[in-house]
Amino acid sequence: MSPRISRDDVVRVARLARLDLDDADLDRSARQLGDILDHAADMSLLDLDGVEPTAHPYPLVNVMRDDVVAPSLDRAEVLAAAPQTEADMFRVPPVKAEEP
Amino acid sequence: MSVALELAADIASGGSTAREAAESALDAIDAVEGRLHAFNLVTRETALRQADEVDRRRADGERLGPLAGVPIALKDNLCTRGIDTTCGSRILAGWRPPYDATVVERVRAAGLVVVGKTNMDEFAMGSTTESSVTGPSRNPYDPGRIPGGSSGGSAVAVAARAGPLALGSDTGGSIRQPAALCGVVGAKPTYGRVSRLGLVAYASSLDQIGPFGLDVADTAALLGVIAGHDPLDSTSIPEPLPDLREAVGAGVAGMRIGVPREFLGEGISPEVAHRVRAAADALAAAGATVLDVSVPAVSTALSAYYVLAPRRPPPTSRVSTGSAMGCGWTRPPRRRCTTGPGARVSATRSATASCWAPTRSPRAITTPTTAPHRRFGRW
Repeated sequence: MSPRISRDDVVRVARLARLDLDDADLDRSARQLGDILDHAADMSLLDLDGVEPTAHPYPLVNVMRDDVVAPSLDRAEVLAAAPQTEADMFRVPPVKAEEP
Repeated sequence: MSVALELAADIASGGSTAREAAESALDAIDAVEGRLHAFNLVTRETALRQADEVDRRRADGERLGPLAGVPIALKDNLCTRGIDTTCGSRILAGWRPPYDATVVERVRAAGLVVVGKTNMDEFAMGSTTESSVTGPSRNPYDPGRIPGGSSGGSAVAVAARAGPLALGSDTGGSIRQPAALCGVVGAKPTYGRVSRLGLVAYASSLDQIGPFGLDVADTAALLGVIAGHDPLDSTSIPEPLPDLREAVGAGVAGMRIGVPREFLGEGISPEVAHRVRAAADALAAAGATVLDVSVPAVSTALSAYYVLAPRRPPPTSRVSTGSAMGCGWTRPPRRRCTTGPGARVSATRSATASCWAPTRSPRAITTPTTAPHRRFGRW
């Protein structure tokens, strides 16, 4: 099998994805990611000149509607699913430190 | 053996009630659940309440659909208002959706009675139902073997007669493959035919919700209930639904049905090839014209799937390089490409053209669905 993706590549991707992979994980991931790249390579061998991209089997275009108020989900019921709420909103952990 | 349609007819004629049908299904679940684990949740109380409501609607003279009163199981990635929806994952433990999926609304409106949420591969990523956090479902024909997946629990529930109908979802075989492995009927509808609103997505451009049943008529009747345009799913097709009952009743006499030879080539097990040929023979005996056809593009289908529907490890490459999730054939050998892309594709085009010219094209194709059952193991 050609090493389409190196162990170093996997180390780098794992760091970016905040994944803690051990040596065995790294080797297995390199092999599996290589297999996926083989699939992509298979596709690239096809001559698709003149083949229209297919986003949907049915010729749908943008679906628009009038911007009018319609019945919606019950706010209390939706918020009941949240671990934390505040003032009728979802409360989530900060993703960025507050300004000094 | 249209168990669901016959049950509904019996209820409609007053021979039995939705309540009795629900109780019978709940008892059947109790009897098999310990051995097979088809369900993540059995909704006993809401089922009985809903069944009573169906009986009341009928008593009030409301005209109900052809499956009214029939128990149904729902894959656990279909949102059910106020009822746990886990997708087989601990991540969603305790989550109760604030709305019903469109298909859930439709089955309830049609008078079907929801008896529970069925087990599945975690977030539908898998083809064995082994990756559920609640543990694997087991094949009713041999509990030592996988039932397939990801809609394994739905297939098992129907096969074990714990309710005659179920819904699953299919992205790359997740209804068709477990249906095949459990000996029931399952269908992935045309993309856009069934609303995806309230289906926890795996790959939105490929996912479809579809029916399981014990025979084609039951399964088509259930598809008739869930299919049709939904303004809340902008990818759903705004066209009326064809009459599926009429289509089923019409049979296959005179229909041209192709058997693509690429599906029966390298990598297929002899028993699967034998069953496909037997099915083709049965279709021919029923009056269909069975054609040997070639669809060379099949050889890149698996690669296309893995490019379009990226999966996370571990099922990824183990599945893709092995027996090809539920497709019964292996990854195409490299040598097919050695003549160069141009030669290969022009051969593809001419073969395709000769097989699929509009006047000669088959109405349907018959293919293997999956590799044979395998025993449990590390996925």
